[in-house]
Amino acid sequence: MMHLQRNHSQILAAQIRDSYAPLTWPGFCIQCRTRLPLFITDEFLNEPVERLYPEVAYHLDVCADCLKEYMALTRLLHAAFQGEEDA
Amino acid sequence: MPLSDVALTCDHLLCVSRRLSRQVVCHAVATAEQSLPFRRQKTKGEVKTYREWYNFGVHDRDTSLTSEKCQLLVAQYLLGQDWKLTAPESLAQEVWGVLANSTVGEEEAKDAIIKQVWSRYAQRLHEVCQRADHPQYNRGWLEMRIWLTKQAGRVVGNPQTGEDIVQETLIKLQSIFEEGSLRTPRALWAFALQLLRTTAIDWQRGETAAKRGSGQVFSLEEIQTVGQEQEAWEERIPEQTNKHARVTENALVTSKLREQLHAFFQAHLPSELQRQIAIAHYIDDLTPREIASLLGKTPHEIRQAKARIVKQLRNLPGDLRGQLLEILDQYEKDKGIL
Repeated sequence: MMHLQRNHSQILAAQIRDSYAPLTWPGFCIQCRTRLPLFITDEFLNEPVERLYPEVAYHLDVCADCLKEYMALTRLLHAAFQGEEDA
Repeated sequence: MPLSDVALTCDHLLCVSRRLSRQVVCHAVATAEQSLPFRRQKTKGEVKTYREWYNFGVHDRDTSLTSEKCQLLVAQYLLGQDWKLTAPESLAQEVWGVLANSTVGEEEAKDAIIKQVWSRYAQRLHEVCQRADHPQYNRGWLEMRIWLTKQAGRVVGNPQTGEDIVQETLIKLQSIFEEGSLRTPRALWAFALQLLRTTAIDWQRGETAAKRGSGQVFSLEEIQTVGQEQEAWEERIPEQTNKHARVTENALVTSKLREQLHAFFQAHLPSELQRQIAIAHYIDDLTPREIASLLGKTPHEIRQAKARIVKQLRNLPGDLRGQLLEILDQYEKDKGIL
């Protein structure tokens, strides 16, 4: 979705208008969760994930369930990264 | 104090570091080592925990990151994790190739090193575990099992349940590897964690259904990860926030529309931190990672706050939403983007 490569205020306007409706449909959740491990990994590796995976970033702003999954996985990954110290 | 006694003191202090803050431990170790004429070197076998690995070099007199130090750090980390699928020297060379020209400080460089190790070792592990005829196949699956077992402790509390869930997760992973379905091996750790978590949730649901069927009263509880933070953190404004507010305000071009957008956020977002994040993200175009580093938060915390901001703005009454959209549209025209 190349049209998502915009600045953040434009994306906010689209989210308020619900311009990219497919990205807010529940059906997109499956796609989002399939891509979450890669999104989280690249974010962990300091890659520009808003640019690389704009649909996932957009969907996480508007879907509470996927955001919850993202938060849980990110915390698990960070905890695993810390190692035995936090076990 | 004899060197051996200092070494014992340092070992003891590092071992109790679980109960003390890192600063206290480092200060104590530094104090103990003050009179030493040379750096105390731990042997490879002595570095066991991530914290010991991370603190290595903090007390070195030479603080620059060199390829030799990178190699030592990589080797010690692999040893600490008991990862043996790749030679430390070759992995260190790959990592150094990426980081040699970076301009980050030593502490950030250590984080960057370990992230590179994670990413590359994930690819190695995937390569090994995919083919049953690979000479390191059994070793690879053993390392995966050990790693998943450690993480299972954060997902479920019962060790016996954790073992069952790890076993089921490994079976699923094996099937996925054989099909060649994992196309981005660098995401292996996150993928395995997702699979582990999903398996644990499914298992929990199965248990719930079984207990309901048996007539027992059971309240379904969601599986919580250890260390889940309360939402109240958003209300605690760190010191950096006010500094950032002054920087942001000073940097604002005296554009009427930017001021309008700024005022809109001030009026309609409930918390000061949400307002700060909205200004940084939607006016200054900073990414969650950049905002996180300014505010002393993590990117995922900023992303969570951003989702709340979007929800708040989407739920505004129609006239206010219209007002916001008008400002945003005009703001974009003003910036010459539309």
